[in-house]
Amino acid sequence: MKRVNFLPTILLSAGLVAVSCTNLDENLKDTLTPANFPKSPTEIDASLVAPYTNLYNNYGHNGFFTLQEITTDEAMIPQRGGDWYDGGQPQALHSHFQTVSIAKPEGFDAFSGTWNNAYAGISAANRLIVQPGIAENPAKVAELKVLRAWYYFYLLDGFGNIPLSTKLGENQGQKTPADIYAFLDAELTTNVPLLTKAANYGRLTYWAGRAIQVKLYLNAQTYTGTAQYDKAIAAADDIINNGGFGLEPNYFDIFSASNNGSKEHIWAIPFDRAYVQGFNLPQMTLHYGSQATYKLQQQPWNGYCSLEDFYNSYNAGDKRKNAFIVGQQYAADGVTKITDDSYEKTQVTGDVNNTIDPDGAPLNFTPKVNEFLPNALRQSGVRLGKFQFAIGATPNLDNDFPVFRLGAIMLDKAEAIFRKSSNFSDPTGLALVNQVRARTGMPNYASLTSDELLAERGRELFSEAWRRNDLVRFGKYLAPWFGKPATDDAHINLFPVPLSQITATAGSATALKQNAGY
Amino acid sequence: MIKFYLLVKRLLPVVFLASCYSMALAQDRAVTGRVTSKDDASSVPGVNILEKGTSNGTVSDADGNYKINVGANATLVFSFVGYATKEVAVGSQNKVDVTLDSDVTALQEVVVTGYGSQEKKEITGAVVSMKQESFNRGAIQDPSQLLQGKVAGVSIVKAGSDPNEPFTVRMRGLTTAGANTSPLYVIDGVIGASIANVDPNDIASIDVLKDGSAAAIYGTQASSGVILITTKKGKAGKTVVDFNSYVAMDNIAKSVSHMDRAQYLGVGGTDLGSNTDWTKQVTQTGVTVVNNLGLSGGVGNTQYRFSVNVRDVQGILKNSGFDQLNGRFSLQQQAFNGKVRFSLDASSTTRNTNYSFQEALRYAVTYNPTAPIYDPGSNSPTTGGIYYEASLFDNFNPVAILNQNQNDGKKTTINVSGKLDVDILPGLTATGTYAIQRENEILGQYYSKYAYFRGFNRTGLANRNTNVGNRDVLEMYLAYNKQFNDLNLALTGGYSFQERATQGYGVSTGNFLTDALGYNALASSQDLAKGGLTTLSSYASPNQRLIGFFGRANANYKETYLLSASVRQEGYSGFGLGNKWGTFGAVSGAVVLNKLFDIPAVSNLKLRAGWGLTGALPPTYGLSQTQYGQSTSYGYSGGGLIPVVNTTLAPNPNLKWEQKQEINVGVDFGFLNNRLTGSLDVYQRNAKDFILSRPIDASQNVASTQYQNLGEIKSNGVELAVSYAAIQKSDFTWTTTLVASHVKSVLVKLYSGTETATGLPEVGSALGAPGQNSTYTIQNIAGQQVGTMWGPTYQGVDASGNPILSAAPGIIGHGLPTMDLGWTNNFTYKNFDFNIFFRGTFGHQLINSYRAFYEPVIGGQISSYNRVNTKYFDPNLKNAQWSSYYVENGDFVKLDNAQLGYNFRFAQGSMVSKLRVYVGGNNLFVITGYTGTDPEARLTDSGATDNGAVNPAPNPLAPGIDRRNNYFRARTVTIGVNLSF
Repeated sequence: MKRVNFLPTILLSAGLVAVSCTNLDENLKDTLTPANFPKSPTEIDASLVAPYTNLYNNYGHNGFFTLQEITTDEAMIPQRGGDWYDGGQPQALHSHFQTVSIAKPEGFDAFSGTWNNAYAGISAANRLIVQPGIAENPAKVAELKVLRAWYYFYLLDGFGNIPLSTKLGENQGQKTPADIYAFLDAELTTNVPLLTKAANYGRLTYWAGRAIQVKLYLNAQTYTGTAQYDKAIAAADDIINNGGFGLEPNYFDIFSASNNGSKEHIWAIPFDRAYVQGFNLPQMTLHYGSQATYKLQQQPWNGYCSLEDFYNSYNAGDKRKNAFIVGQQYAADGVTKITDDSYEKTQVTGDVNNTIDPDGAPLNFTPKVNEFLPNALRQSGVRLGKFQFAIGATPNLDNDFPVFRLGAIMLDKAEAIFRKSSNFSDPTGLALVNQVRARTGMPNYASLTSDELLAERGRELFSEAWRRNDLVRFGKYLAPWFGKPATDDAHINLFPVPLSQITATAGSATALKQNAGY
Repeated sequence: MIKFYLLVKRLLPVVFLASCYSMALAQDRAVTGRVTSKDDASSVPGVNILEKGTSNGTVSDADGNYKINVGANATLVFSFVGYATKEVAVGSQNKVDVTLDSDVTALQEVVVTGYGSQEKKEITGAVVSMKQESFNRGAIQDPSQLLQGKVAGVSIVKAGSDPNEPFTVRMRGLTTAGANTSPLYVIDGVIGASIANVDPNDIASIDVLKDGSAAAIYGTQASSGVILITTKKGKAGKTVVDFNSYVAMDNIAKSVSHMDRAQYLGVGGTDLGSNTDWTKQVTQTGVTVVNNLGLSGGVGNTQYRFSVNVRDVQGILKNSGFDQLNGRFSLQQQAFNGKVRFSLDASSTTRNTNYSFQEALRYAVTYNPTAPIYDPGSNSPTTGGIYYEASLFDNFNPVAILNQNQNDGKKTTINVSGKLDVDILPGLTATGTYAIQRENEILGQYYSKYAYFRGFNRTGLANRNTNVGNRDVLEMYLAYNKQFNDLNLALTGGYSFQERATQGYGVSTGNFLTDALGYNALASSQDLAKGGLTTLSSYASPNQRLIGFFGRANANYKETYLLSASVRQEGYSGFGLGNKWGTFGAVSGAVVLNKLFDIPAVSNLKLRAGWGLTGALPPTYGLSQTQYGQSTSYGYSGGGLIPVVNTTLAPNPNLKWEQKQEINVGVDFGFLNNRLTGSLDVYQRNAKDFILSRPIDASQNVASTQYQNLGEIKSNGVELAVSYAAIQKSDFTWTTTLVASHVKSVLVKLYSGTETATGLPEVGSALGAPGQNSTYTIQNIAGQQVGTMWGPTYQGVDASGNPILSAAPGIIGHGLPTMDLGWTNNFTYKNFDFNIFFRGTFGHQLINSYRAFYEPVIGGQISSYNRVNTKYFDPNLKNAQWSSYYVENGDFVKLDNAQLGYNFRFAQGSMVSKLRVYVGGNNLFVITGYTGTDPEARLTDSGATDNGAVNPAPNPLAPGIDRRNNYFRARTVTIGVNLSF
């Protein structure tokens, strides 16, 4: 047999393979990378809007909205038997940690969720500010800086002592509220004038920037110990006199499912069931059976409701009282009563009246909530209905969420005037309040007090994620309400720094320190 | 062990007496018989047959027949290459038929070690080789089941009896907190091939490389061990047809205990007027039929085997199950006097799965037992169709779920591989392998427009997803073997190229005119016209490459001193630029003591020691690169909608290989002529730099978490396997095998190691809705075992029904088991064979989620949700709060499987060579204190499920949670037949 010599062939092919087949480049196919994006002006625009998208997350459960609402006297999540205990966190947020929770406050999901989401927006802005195509355009850079300032504003308002970063990969360390205030004051003063004064739906304009200034200056006393009411009034005046905004004659038009472009909106999150998702209030507040009322595409979760005292703070004739969903609920036909066979009918504690649904099966939202925990009746509590729930709504509402609107800015200006003059019946301020109040069916105020102004702000701004900010500024955040005893722990006025971030930065040069008292 | 020793001691005299008895009856005469192989009942020609103690002998003919004249008290010794030598006392018999085992005597076993094989006596690492005789029996649907409990240190776990759920396989406990906790599979030499494409009936042997020194030849994918599967091949000779068939019946062995109508009403439940046993309504006797036909043979230089496997499997949940068609073809061709050898393997599996809805089991537990199935006032505007539905969170009519909706899929897997061996020079062989794998899957779900469960108000909802996977492997290596006087040297070196890519897309859309076409008419969705509820998704991975250069040297001096060393340099495309390549390796040695010293009664005593360094791959691709993702969100520009591009991943360009070092010391032993054999291994593993997501400073990064090389886990373990051929008579044999393993994995550190228990972020272990979101049950604490259950201690109940809990939370359990036991007994008596296998797992606790949610008599719930009812039920407890009350011991012993078979004997020349019928059972009973459905350890966590949502990435850092989506446990009875001709 002829001898076959395979060796050279094999060695040769092995050698070829070794040379050509050690290529380990990773070419990603289903994600954009710096190698292929952005290439055109349209694509640059698409990245410019990126830091806005983090705001969409602010209006679901355990985000910004949750922290501004259920920590106050206008909303809560009671423990409904087996539902919504969730480690005791929702109740502890409402009772300012006076009720039992498994985790310490710094470990609560709402704090880390809100913090991480805000800094993701800040980092996106920091990344884009230096991106070619944006960096050389002062108006675009200014818009990103003002948007970043909004994130920093609500971090300052909530957490106080926060790290400051203006460049991706760099952290200037944890600053005091006064330092952050100074940063924002300068940043907004420089950049707001560079923004467009024309309408720009969904985006920050000059007027929105001015509105952030109104809030920053109105609360300056809280952040720095020094009041800045003149600056607040000036910024508000600019908006009121020059912005071209108007009050909606019908209060609920501000919040309807088709409220986009409302003349009262200064800046709104442009929610949409398909494209800009995240505003899921019907899921959070409605009862399971309410699915039939609105033909909702998914079953709601029966969580958020308002407090009886807050509901009763509205006069019967106040049109804004329709912001609550109350009483017997009907199917979409408006005739068929919704019933809940599963209503509580078993006595579980010694107090018979406390744990049995008084009117039985009919689905009836009662202003009275029998107890905050553990056995709040599932049908108890009036629901948050200021934003219209359209028939056939999905978990993602079409309603835009106004962050700033003219009516609120007018109340802010009035308050600044009152506080500046230390007179809550100052006629200029009073006129502004009455101007806003005119559409509610309620008579004008002839005079006001600090408490009454706070109550009126509550009625006007209910569900708009400003209540906590107002209560702190009015010194009422520690006051008692249903589910919460009075406390005098002033440290509660700031949220704790999230534990996961303290862990993440431990041992580094910019290690985070916990806020005093936690 | 003590019991086992006593058993041996008691039985030895019996064996001794029995052999004396046979001697007394012996006389001088002719004996005939036939030698067959136990593997496939084929005749074995050329067997040496020797009368023991004499030079009198003969050889079996082409049909395996022999004839020999023997003296009184003769014992015949049958020996042949590849088979265990067998001694048979002739006694009074004139005809002695013998079946030869291809294993039993460990010393002659050939062990597949990766890029070649070695004789077992040459092995220096912790390696276990299993032939099909030792596999588990009964209703086996998944190849990994064959090994369950049989190999010390290999845990093969599935809680509940869902036929569609794969087993979780862990070798030597949890090695890594990263992604690769499952061993690497190598099928017929093809690295990483799909085990789902191998029918259990086609497997000839399984080799398990347990320690780092054995596995290191596979480098980066080997940290969690390697399982090598060899399928059956054709043999030269006559054509053999094998037919195996069985019918199995699954019945509920244990469901979640809940109250019946009377009990529920007794604790305050609402009476809706009916009496419905929801569990009975949604379950069935699952009937499974499996048929396997194999055809093999060979002519000249060609051998082949062809097989077809048909499985029709039903689970105990109605609708759940699959039907599967698998085909396998293998061909071996030799040429040039055997110097060139070519083999081709091809297999294909098509599986049609009906996933059904496990939610039906979940709601069967919690649905009101007094509720009717159907709503008398049908078409209720508040809840949809004709079924009774309550307006409640996470509470749906279980019968309606099954009857109204559809959830199924189809997957095809094809593997083809070719291998060429060429003997270039004496002792030098070149091998090339090329293999492809193609996977194709399509999934569909449809929720009726009348289904309150997901379809209601969505007016019908259809989901479709497809996934396509490609995998290509090219390997080339040279093997050189040379004998230098007393020293044998074997060298192997080569190149390995693996590339895989996956892609797919998904559509979810609703609003259909009619349910009639289910998910098959996506274009009928009115979502398109009505705007915006359709969701689309797609993905396509990069070509993920893994390239390696490897080498191994084995030295064998006088079969007494053994040394092995291997090295593998490997690169992976998914790491950072400077970190793509890593070098792994191993050194191990052994000394065969019985060759050095003559120790009485010792037939084998080998001491082994080894060290190995292996690596592991990251959980997904692209982690080292900046990614902007796809433009899936929107914003506004100039008043109009525009797509938005953002980045949410913090890339880590420094991402590198995880490293695991392992030291293993072992001893293999054989006593009494290898009637008693076994091995003992002690090891320590140290894994560090595993790839895990951790929180980072959110203020200066685009995300608040990042994948990093983190932490350190140290594991210590001991493994023992002992096998004793207690009785070896021609008509009665008994072999008993015990395997035991202990392992404890301690987290040395996760991040810096200084975090306090509560300073660590949660690991996805929250109990979930309703009411127990943010309720984390597992913490990973430095210095403790991985997966420590963390919470307050339950101290009783107060007057108002609230639990009294310890003020501070603490350690209240551990999710990972510390000990596994398996005890096999094989008996043959005349034509009967009987095998019985017990399996136990110890040292783990389980969090009983059903109890944690639904056992307390909660005010808001009691009038609407049924109650779980175990021995822990306390009518005074009225508030559900996480505590040690819901942590239970998971220790158990199971009668895993038992089978009784009868072998019919056929006259020589008969067409049928083997006919065996059997009856058996799996999961026949369980001894445990656990009150849930199944005390098996939960090695990973699927996450909280809300209304049945599924978390696709199981979390290895949160073991021990018995979630509410677990399938009930079944007991299986099997009747079957094995036929060869």
